[in-house]
Amino acid sequence: MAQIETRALSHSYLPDPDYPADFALKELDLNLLDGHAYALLGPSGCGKSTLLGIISGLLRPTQGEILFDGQDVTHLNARQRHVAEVFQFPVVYETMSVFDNLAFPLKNRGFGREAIAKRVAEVAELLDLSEQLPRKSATLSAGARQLVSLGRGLVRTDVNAILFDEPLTVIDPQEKWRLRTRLKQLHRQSGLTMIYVTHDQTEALTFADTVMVMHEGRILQSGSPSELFERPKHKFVGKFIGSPGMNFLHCQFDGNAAIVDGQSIPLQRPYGTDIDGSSFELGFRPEYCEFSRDGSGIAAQLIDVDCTSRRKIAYLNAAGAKVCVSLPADQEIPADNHRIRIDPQRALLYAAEILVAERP
Amino acid sequence: MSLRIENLCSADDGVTHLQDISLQFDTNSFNILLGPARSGKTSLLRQIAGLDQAGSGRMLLHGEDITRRDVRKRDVAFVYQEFVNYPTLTVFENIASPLRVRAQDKQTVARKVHEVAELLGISDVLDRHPPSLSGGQQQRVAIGRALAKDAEVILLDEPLANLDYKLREDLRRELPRLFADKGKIVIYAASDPNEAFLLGGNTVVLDKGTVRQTGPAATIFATPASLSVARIMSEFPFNLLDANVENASCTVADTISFPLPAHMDSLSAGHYTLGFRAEQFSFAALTPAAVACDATVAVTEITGNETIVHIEFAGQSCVAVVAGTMTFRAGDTITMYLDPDSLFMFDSSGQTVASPTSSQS
Amino acid sequence: MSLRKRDYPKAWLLVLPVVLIVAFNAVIPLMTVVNYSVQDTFGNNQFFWVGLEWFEEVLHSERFGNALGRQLLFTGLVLAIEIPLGLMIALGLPKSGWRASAYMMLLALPLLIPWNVVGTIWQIFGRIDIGLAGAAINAVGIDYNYTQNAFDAWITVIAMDVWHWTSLVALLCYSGLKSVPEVYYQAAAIDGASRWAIFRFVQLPRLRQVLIIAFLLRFMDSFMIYTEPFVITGGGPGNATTFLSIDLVKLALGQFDLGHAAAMSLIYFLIVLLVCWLFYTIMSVGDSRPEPRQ
Repeated sequence: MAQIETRALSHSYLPDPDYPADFALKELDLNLLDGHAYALLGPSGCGKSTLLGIISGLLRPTQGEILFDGQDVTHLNARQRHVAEVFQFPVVYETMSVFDNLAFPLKNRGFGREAIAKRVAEVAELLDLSEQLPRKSATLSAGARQLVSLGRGLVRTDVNAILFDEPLTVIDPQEKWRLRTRLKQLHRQSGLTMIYVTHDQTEALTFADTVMVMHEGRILQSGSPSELFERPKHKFVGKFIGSPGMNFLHCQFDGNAAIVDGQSIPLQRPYGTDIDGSSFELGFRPEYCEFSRDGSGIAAQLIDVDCTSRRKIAYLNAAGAKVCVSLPADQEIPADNHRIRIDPQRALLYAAEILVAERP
Repeated sequence: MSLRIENLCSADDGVTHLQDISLQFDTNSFNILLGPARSGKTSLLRQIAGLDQAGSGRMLLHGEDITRRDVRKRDVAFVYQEFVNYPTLTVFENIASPLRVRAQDKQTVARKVHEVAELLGISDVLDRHPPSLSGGQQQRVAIGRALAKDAEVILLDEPLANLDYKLREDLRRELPRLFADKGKIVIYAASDPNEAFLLGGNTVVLDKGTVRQTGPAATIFATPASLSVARIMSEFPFNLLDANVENASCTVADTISFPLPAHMDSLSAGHYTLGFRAEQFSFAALTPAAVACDATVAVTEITGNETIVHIEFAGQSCVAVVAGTMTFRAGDTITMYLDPDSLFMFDSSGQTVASPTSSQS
Repeated sequence: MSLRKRDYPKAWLLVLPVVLIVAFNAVIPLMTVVNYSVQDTFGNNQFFWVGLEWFEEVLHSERFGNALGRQLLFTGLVLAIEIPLGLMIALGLPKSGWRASAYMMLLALPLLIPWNVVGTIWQIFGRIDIGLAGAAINAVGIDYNYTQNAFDAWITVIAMDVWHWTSLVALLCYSGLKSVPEVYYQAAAIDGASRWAIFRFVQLPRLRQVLIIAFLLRFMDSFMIYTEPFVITGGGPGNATTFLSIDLVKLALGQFDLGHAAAMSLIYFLIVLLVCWLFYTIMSVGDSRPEPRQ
């Protein structure tokens, strides 16, 4: 178990990096608590896999340090850092049985036969693989292989953290569901620090206690799933989380209300009147706005409607931007004269794409 | 004018891939093949493309029998899950490749390529090579090649599965528009029921190599023909419990009883399987007839502004989805409510014998 | 997933010329040999049927037994050295970069030399008067003379074969190693696996197909070896390095014992076929079944 800290960590894949754009990771200071479940969420190329590689020891950072429980481990490799990793591609030693796969890390570390048998039985029980122990690992499904990979991390008693690199990528959609829930349960049961890298927000939000949204080598926001949903600190986070993402409309701010297209939306937050900012934007989620039935609200033109089994998503043009409204599937959309009313309680003010902080 | 498939069967090394498939796809239609892994979606697409030979059955395109026709002679375009492009050709040449095969003159080729690139938003990367592009762009190039071919039938095999979450959303919105009103037959394989809803058109539910149900996604959702269809059509795991019907009342897993709702009136006494969706659970009794269920929490997962609660109820694992953020610990006991009017009933062979009558289920 | 085979009647027309040529060059001569092996002559081109007599004679002949024994020993030694050595070289090659290309070029060089030139190179190389190795070894004090000492002749011929063909095994194994996904090495590192464990559990399973091919190729070629040892030692000293093919040629062309030679050829052919089939069947037993498609 370990608390993981990074100081001024940055990394570049180029031999002579000059510009910020040359760096895959830029100046990260992280503090990961022991026993927590973390997710690194971001689009392809944001640096999440690079960060995971540095934490695991498979990659050495260009600059900065990484510490486990206060000890500098920057120059230690993966084996020396006592981390386990589950990769995108399920890795099992195909010539070995499930039992031997799980026993492998312990054998390499010189454990005795009895100790190994006991520990493997414990972990197999946890993973619900007890019946599969004598099977040849080559015959397992992709999901079962990932569990065995995870098991190889769990058998070890010296593991500081278990890292997951988009582990559900090659799993069938049905198995994905069960495996995801399983991983969360296993985290609760084992109490180990787990760090999960993914581009899929559902995976990240359901698994982690704390989600870190990454973009272009930086962590834009780190918080609980509901924090990220309700109060995104950055426009990118607002747009990235949620399906569809947050709406943003340019507005003016008069100290109390945001003014969009002539309409005034009284923001019920103590922003203060002396905010010095240009390019204000009003951020509101499609779930927190609705079609007004009484003629009030911002005028909009309806472009398209998507229906899923539970919701209707209306796409509109309003105040010069694209806006989505999400309604329950059984609600009707007005035939014409579309006007959007935004819930003032849930709307947030952004200046230069960053959430304006409230006065205490 | 259509593509008709009659009693198509295909097997390989003793494993049956498709069994007695009979379908009709009309021109200018967007069709979705929905099913879990190994349900026969890819096999069927490959049969239509001519990449595999059928064991028995026929395929007719506009009345012509194409069953034995060579893949090169079929007028079909295929978009794969894995962004398949010619890596050594530029994007321009990739999109132009089907046109060059037809030996069209330079000007026509250039014009068509630019049209297609414009439509897909990749005009600015025409001189780059696919491996240097992002996943979303590579897939657009693959779709561009399919569009440029101007084939009668366009087949897509889960083309969005390998894309990032957000890119998937963007491309998914564009797809129906790309193919609309061009007189094509589009057949799209998917495993996510939401894609069937969002892409629209006609949905064909496949399971274990057979067609289980066809129709608009919303109809199949509201009235699935069987348990397997209800499962396939569910975003979340479909909840199932043993039920016993006797004397106009239903007993679920020997714990909870309630009078039979209107849509189950005609059921005779006996054993059944009760089914309902995760979103049917609620924390308050929404109607007077709502049934209280005492359950134990196993795991909670929070997605945005919804919470997925995995519970143990009546000895079974169930899944509930509720709005808002709830935090329960494993082992907490909670009471959830079900409205009998929203429940499905299946007989012992898995056929649906009762579906909720309201429009949302 | 691959395209299934279909009936292409026109394809047979394209293959027909090749079939005719192969028939003319290979099948007909083979039939001629079979013909000779079951007949005898008193001269004057008059032949009469003797059935399996020649085969019996060959199988009971001490000379054949000795040549076969020598051949098996040679092939066994050569395989025992070349396969592990080639594998070790492949494991030592860098995975990518200009150095990898440079090494592969060097490795390919021995394979490009015509076989009789290889023989000539080593023949001179081993000479005690003008040969670099021959003279050097004797200068150091070790008695070495491949023209007179059977053991020295064997050492020379084996060294020549190893020099000539190990590269093939190395290149085949290298291509097999490249197919191992990087994640396997990473996972093994995290599991604390030793270098040997990585070889045994990650690399070797993936090299199976490649090693089968390498073994079969080297077995066939070394079992039928003729040119190089003939050029170096001519089969000597005495008949110390007279392998099967050399013996066969001596019989057929030297003594004109066509019937005996023909029977020996066929037995030779059948041995090679049998071993290859046996080995391939045994090694293919554990191969995976085809994956079910969606």
